[in-house]
Amino acid sequence: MTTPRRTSVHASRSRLRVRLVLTAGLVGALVAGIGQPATGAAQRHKIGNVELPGIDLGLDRRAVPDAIGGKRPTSARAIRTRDWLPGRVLVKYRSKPDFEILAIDEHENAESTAARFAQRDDVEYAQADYVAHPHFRPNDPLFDQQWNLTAIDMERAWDINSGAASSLIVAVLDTGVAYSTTVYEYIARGVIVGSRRYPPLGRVAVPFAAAPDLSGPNRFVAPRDFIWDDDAPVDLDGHGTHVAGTVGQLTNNGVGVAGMAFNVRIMPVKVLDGDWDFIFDSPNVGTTSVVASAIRYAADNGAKVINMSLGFPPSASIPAVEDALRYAVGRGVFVAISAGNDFEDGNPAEPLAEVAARVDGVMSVGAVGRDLNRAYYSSQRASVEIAAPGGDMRTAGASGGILQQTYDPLIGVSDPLSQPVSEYGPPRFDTFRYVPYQGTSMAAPHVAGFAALLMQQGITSPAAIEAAIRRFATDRGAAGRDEDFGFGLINPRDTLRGLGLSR
Amino acid sequence: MSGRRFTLAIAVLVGGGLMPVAAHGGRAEFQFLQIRPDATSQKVKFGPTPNAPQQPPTTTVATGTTLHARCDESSPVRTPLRAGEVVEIEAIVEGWVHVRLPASGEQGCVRRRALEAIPADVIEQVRRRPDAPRVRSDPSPAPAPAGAPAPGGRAVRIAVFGYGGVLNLAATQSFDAILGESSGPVVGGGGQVAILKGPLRNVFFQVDASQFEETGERVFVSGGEVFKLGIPQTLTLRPLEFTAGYRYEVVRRGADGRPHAAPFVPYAGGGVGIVQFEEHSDFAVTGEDVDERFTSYHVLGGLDVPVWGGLGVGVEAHYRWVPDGLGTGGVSREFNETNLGGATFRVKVGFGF
Repeated sequence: MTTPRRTSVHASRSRLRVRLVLTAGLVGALVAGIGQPATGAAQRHKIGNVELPGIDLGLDRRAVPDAIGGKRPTSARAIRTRDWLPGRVLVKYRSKPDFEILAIDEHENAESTAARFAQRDDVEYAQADYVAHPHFRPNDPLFDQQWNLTAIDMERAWDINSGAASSLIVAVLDTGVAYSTTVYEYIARGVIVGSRRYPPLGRVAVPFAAAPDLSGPNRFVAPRDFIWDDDAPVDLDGHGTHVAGTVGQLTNNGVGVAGMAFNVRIMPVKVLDGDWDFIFDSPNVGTTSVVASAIRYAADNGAKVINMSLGFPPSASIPAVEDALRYAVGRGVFVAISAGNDFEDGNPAEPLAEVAARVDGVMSVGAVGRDLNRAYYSSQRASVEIAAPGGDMRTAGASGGILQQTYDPLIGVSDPLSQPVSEYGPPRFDTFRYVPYQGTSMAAPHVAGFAALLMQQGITSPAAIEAAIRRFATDRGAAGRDEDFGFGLINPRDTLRGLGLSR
Repeated sequence: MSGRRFTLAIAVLVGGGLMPVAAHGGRAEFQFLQIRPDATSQKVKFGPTPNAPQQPPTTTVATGTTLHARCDESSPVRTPLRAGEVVEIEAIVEGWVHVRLPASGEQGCVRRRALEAIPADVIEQVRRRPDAPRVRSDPSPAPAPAGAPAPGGRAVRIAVFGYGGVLNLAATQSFDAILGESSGPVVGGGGQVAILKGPLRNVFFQVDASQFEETGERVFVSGGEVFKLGIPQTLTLRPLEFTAGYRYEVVRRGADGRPHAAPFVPYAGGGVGIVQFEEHSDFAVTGEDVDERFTSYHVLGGLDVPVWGGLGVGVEAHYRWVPDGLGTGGVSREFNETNLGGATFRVKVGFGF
């Protein structure tokens, strides 16, 4: 075991720091101007695996029943292309207690025939024998609280595409993901924040658990930690776990909440360092070089969609990241990027969003609240390309946030340096709760999951995915593209359904 | 074939309708006799008559009988003949005599046994007549050169027909995006009334309906690239068309100097119609599928070829315009294609009455 290098505080981080684009619960947790330059490589040590008893981690694939009423017609093609069964109509005569099924020519239009029957005086009603379609509604008990999914008609979108497939990989470039159940040992240094002095905790064994509503066999692929330079991108914050949940939370598993593309595999890629990474003296912090490397890593390791709920300082010039994004797009990867949360802080430009706006296949995502208006924090700039639910708890309270499973905030894991020193102690990352967050960080993974559905449906080009998302967006605000919503609110159902010949 | 005479009876399909035609074969060569389709009393003139017109020989109906359209018991009966009625003898073929009724000019066939015995000199006279056919087992009326008036018989001919063909759609890119091809099979049928007499002779009126139905996939189009979405999409076109046209009865002089009708009848026409257009797809809710009707315009042209009896076949080229039937949404808007019509090449089979 190596002695940690960092045991003192008061250091200043002079490198370009990646900002978490999140307002509630997380904003302010990253404290600039503290910490010292590293003098050696920090390490963490895996000291065991812990099973979580009683938690079903199995991926639950939704099976959409072929709910066809009545006898199947002889022509399979007919049932696939019409809303009603050919060769029959239902007729209720006034003299009879119930309807009768009358056979008609299979080539007749059953609706027209029924309409003719309905005109008869002795007929109470007549109708074609319509085929029932499943309206998938997940059995996740908290789905009722996920206004964000019903607002974009995900139930009908899932009728068309039931959560993509495990062959699709979505990389979540974030603070890591609660993907593993294990215990790591860290050395926690002391930290001074303003007048508060958080004492060094020395060696601490930190338990991690895989988020039970996110994890399952073969759910995670090619994990990579660019903050700790290893293959264990555990989440020491909760932000990445929340974001990953919106992308692909297990759905229809009778547990918790739903996610957009619940059958995809998640590639956890850690590019953001949280407070605990700082306290534990991680060898790297989230910089342009880290983010650019991570983008290339994801593209080279099979990801077809990348979610980046992060941003850079307004003055930053990020050609290295733009190059990496173009590289990823060139390899067929779509990228969703949060547009920024700083509307009330001068509404500055967000460099990543600016890049997204000029790269086809990379989209910057603004946030709407439950009322589908621009969230109060969401950047209002020309770089906003599309809008998705990000939550607005100022107007709707906690129920206006985006509900996903992440670490239990009651144990203070995500904001250790905003807690009173008296409550400061070793963290544990094995306790979960369904927590409402808000931010464009929450909006972007809606688009990432949506893009995964589109890829699975057949739109394989990132630029075409962006074009499709724009084409079918529900216009909000000023007619056409505007700075609040971009091209509008995402419309997964209509986009997945695509175009017919004339409609 | 040497020393043996044979007869080929064919009928000409007229825009889907049929006209009876007689054709004659000789020993070493075929000698076709083109007959007008209207089965009226025009005679074919087999070249210049060297002498002054001869009075045709006559005979008398011995017993009450019927005048048949052709020298065939199963052919349609044209009129009853009373005993004692005088008929002009046109030709004698085995047990039948091809006659002309002096009063009406109507022509047809009568059983030879129903007539008074025909003297040998009359038989010889018939044989020596310059326009006498050598063999005439199907003495259906011969057509006059185009434009000649029809002095008697029916004023119209009715025919029914069916056809199959290939529709090549004008909105090439749009249909190709959905169906993977811009053409497909079409089937249809209809009826035709052809004018046989008067100033509108050779004009025909036709109504027909057809259907084109193909299933493809819904798509998304970006930068000209088509992405198929795996959602079945069925496109149906059901045109109902009304056509007016003109048939060109071609009569040519053969090497023997006699007029010969071509073994086919070209025709051309145009008209208007209504096209019912449907789009059905999975996952559609009310209002998302399409069931609309558009006015269409078309032109057509083709050739009718007689086969046998009232049966005939034909080929036809057809072009339909359905302006603004597309282009307001879907892939047709992406490709800026507005014409829901296209060209059809059809093979027709019909029967005339």
